[in-house]
Amino acid sequence: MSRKEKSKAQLKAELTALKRQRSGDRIASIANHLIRWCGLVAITYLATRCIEALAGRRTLAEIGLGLDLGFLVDMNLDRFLAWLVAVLGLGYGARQRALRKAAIGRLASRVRDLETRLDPGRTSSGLTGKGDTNPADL
Amino acid sequence: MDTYAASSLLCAAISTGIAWLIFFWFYRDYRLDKFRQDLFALRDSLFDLACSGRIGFDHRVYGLLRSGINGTIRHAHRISVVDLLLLFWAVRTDKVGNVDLQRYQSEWDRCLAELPSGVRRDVLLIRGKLHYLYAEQVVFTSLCLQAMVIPTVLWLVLYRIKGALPRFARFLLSESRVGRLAVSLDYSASISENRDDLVAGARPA
Repeated sequence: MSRKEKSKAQLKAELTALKRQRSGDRIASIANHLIRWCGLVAITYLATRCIEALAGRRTLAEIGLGLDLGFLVDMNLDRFLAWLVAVLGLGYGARQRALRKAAIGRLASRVRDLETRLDPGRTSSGLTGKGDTNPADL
Repeated sequence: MDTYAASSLLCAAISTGIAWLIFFWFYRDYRLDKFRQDLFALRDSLFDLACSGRIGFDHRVYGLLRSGINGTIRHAHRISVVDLLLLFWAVRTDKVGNVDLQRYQSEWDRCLAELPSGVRRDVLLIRGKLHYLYAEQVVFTSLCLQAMVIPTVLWLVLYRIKGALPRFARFLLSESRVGRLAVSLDYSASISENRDDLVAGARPA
């Protein structure tokens, strides 16, 4: 069976569904942003209350040492290694991500061209060349 | 609030803030990339199926499934538990246009019936995997769902294999070294249980 042209009624139904979907997306987006930012606001409020309670009683330097930032002053080898592994891990992850995006950018067009030779009606996901979300969909 | 409590709470707030940053930025981005990568692999398997000549590139089922995967890849950044709940509500209240859904499903069923049974099974497998990946993404991008679903699944797995666990333990115990270890553990436990009596018995009267 070949790909058939869509009827006017079908197109109208799809348009209505897309409009509804868009409204739903907006509501979901607002809810997701609320969840995300309310969490940050709650954390900031908690931190502010703590700082208010500590104001005039302890200095920020003392709190800093209490928060285990004392390693900057007196760093042992085990702590140094732990921090080194954490920083290297983050760097490795970031580097791998950049390399992956570069590889997608380099190979995606080749794959697209080869696949289009076999399937001239090939449809695309609509992502950017590096595999990121299309700015129009944000 | 005393000084110690305030310092501890401040530490907790900063740690939670870092966890928040990791979850909402780094982890979410990682999950999105992983989800899209899995979907690309799934789309490739559909393409390979068509490439092998078992289903035509111009077959309606191929077109519908590929469009579905493409749409999921494109809008993967919007997928969340809130989105799913809204969709659930829309389907329940017919806000999504259930007539259109039925038309889509009946077209899918009709076109799928044209395929040979082996190809139909493979196509359904790809569609099922698409739904599974969707569900996985929803669960692993929601802290609440992770907290609820992962222990439930673990419990179900344990429940399912509860008969197999004692069998596995018996198998392990039948292995001589592990068996000796288990016997020594039992022996240690039994003498520890009677330790007070033994100590009292050894003490001179």
